[in-house]
Amino acid sequence: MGIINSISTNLISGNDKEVASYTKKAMDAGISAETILNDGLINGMNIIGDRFRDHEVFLPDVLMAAKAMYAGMELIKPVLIKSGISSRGKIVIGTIQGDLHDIGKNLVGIMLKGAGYEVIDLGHDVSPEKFVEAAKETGATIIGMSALLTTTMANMKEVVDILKNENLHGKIRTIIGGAPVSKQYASEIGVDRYSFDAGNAVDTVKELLGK
Amino acid sequence: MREILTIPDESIIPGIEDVMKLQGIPSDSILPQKITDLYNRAFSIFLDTKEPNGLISGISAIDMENILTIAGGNIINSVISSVFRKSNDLALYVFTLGKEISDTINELFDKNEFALGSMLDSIASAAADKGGEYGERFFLSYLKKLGTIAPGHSVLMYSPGYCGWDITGQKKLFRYLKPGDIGISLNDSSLMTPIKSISGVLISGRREIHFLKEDFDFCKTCTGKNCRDRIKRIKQEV
Repeated sequence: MGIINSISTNLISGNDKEVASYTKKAMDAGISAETILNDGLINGMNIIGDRFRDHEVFLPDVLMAAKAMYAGMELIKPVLIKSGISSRGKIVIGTIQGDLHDIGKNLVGIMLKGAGYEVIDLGHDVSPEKFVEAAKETGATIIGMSALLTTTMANMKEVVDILKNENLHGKIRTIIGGAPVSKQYASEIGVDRYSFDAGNAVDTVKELLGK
Repeated sequence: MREILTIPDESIIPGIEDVMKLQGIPSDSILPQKITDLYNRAFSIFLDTKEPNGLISGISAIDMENILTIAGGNIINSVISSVFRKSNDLALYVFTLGKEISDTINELFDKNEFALGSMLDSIASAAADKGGEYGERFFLSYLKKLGTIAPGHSVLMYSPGYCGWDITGQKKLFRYLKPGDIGISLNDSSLMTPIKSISGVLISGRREIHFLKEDFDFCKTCTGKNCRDRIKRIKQEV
């Protein structure tokens, strides 16, 4: 079994210490950080993401794999930065104002990072203005919003309204998710896309960014 | 009546099945050993960091109406508006698990301990729900002692943020309840600090007053349907 394969396999099993160890071995063997990232870490996260989507594994399995991915990422990150390898795109995420339920949002963030995107996680109870400001400040081209309550989901429309008022609608794209929202609701409030789970959120970001 | 409650640990300890439900794990699943181990670790942290506290305060129907009145003098269109008028007794209630457990969850996420942090978060959420149920039982027991509750009556809690009661309703509720006494405050978005807290109004009356049809506008978009479990719970009291 090759070193890269060992990184993926251990990542899928949530063995963070082994992932760190094999990542170091790969670096010592002269394997590029980009290869370790794409073929080892991201590949492993994609596999666990697919298994989660297919209900073959549970949420804790994905979160343990994510910890393992971060263990590897921390080792190669300085090399990636030094060699000027940029992320696949920047996404601002958060739970909408008035809502503190963020398990789903956290999972989306972890899966997006695992897929190689830079994620600016604003946490929960995020005002519409803060979403837009954060996207402008960081150069993020996607805003992802989550809600669990029917009484807070209406705040998502305000983000779209602000983007329209500032002529940013279409330049900064929007995705929503969470139990009470739907594809129809996304369409009604002018949001670009609806994602039904974390894995689908990654696919949707890939589609919107074209990479 | 206004009382700070000392809440026994056994009243807020959630069942593992409730925790796993919040983790999205079906009740008929066979848990892998590593998930059981993770649960045990998180549960041990829960026992070390929980600081349960409750506050209950009686409220009149007139004051309750004030809490539910919005700009223009209208009563909000929500389940609570329909139910409270049919009640016999009302009390405001808040429960918190304290600050330390929320801080610990954040620290675990900061240390990339996502699975452990998420499991602790689910245990705390399930425990907060238990804290709400404790309030219902306490109020029922209090009314029984007073002899003001009839056989076949029950107590159920309704919270801002759910079933059409906007989360901003929390501000008015807090004006009456004043839960600063047990260290709970509201932020600008009407969310409670510490996060793992639960608040609402306890409504006593005939069980049937809670058996509402799901024909409100907000029921169409609600996927949680927690009301069904709550109604089922009081039906089982019979």
